[in-house]
Amino acid sequence: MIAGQRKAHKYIWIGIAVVLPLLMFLAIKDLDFTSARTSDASGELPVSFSLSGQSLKIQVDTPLKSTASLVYEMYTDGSRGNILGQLEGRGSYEFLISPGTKGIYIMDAIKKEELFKIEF
Amino acid sequence: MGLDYKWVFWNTHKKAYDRLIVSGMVIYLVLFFTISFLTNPEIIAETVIIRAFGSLAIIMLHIILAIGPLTRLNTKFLPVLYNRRHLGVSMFLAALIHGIFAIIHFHALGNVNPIYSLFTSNMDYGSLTNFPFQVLGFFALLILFVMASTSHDFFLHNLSAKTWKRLHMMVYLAYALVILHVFLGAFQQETSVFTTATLFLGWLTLVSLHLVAAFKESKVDRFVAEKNTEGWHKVCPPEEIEESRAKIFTVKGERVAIFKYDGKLSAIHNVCKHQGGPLGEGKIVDGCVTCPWHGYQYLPHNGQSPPPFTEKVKTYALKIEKGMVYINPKAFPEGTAIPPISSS
Ligand code: HEM
Ligand code: FES
Repeated sequence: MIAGQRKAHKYIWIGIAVVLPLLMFLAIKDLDFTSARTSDASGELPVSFSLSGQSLKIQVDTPLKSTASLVYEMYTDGSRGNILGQLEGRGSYEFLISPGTKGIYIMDAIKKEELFKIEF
Repeated sequence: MGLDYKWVFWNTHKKAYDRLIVSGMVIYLVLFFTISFLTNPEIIAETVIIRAFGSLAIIMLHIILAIGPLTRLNTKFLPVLYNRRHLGVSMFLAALIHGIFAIIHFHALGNVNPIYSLFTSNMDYGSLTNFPFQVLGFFALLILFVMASTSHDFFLHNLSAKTWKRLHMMVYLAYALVILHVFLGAFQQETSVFTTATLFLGWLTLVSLHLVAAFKESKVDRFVAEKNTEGWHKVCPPEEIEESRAKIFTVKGERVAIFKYDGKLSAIHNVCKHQGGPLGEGKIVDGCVTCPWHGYQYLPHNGQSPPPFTEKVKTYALKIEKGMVYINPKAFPEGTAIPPISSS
């Protein structure tokens, strides 16, 4: 390397040393490291949800019977839309839904059956 | 560059390291799959594929980023550098498999174009913890793609070494994007002290290695030599240079390699025309200065690669005064022949 490149490398790494930990910290500062996936509250419904703005929180209290459960958006006409993600077991999940979504479907991905239909 | 050297040294190393890379990757993937299915029999294959290849890619990225400073701190690591590019291309392939499966799994089941869906399924670009982390992964993958596809020497020659180097410094941006991809993605969904701490330690290791190497190097760059009345720089007594080896010396912030061979001394610019390898850390093989990185060769008295190759580096004039080697800080144009001086 020539001297200029060595200098560029040095400044890039000083940048990574300063900026990245800051962003890492901001990303995890609100996470709860103690109670993740340990909630034992067994309600009657296997899932409960709460909606705030475009953020949908789903709480899975008792393990789902299906091995792979996918969450889909429900369009205003009631048809199945974008896939939001997957529920894998007990715990809380957070998904971002598109504006105008009427509800969600939770599907068994393997048996291709509808497990739940939740309208907001 | 010398054909013989390339053939004998570089190819055997290359194959051995390639085998090491492939077997390392296979062992990691097999272990990951086995442990995942044993600990969580309900997990679906796609999830395991996404996780196995994603984590493999980020581990490989850390190794790749550590190689540079490690070779500058200890020349024992030099052999690994030969294959850094292959490691890079393999890492890209692992990341590509991860990205493709993630897109299929999370975006291909809807009724919009999966790439469009990747950018629009989460539009919370103003948020930090809800940021669409997959977009970060996408851009990192794009950078890795450009790097992997231009990694061949064909592009190095056609893009000029400077542009190529600049392009490949984008890997640092890719690293930052990948770290944020994981911190804003996987860590938000599944909080784990172990994985968070691991990536943090990875960052700490890389930053320390790079900064220690960089400060060590800038100390060398800042070195100012004693000068004689004509402005030539005082180097060292000739006995201090080992036979067939060089002393690396800094003149005006640039490094020069002063080689001793067959009772003679010659000085050339320390930077290899291939990828900027430190010529002064190489040795003389068959009468040619041989770059320690990939074996390009140069004649010590004129800085030219032996025919049919055409690479040329700058040369410098030397003289001996009162038992000391002196160097003229003014470089001669690349490939200028300078008669070697006697080392005694
Ligand atoms: C188009 C590009 C990409 C997409 C769509 C993508 C998508 C994803 C998704 C959806 C997850 C969460 C998976 C889960 O929670 O199970 C994830 C995690 C992860 N990604 Fe990516 N990614 C991309 C590129 C990359 C690249 C280039 C790297 C590294 C070189 C990378 C490394 C990781 C790692 C280490 C994780 C966390 C561990 C894991 O769950 O696999 N990703 N990615
Ligand atoms: S041979 Fe590749 S840098 Fe010198």
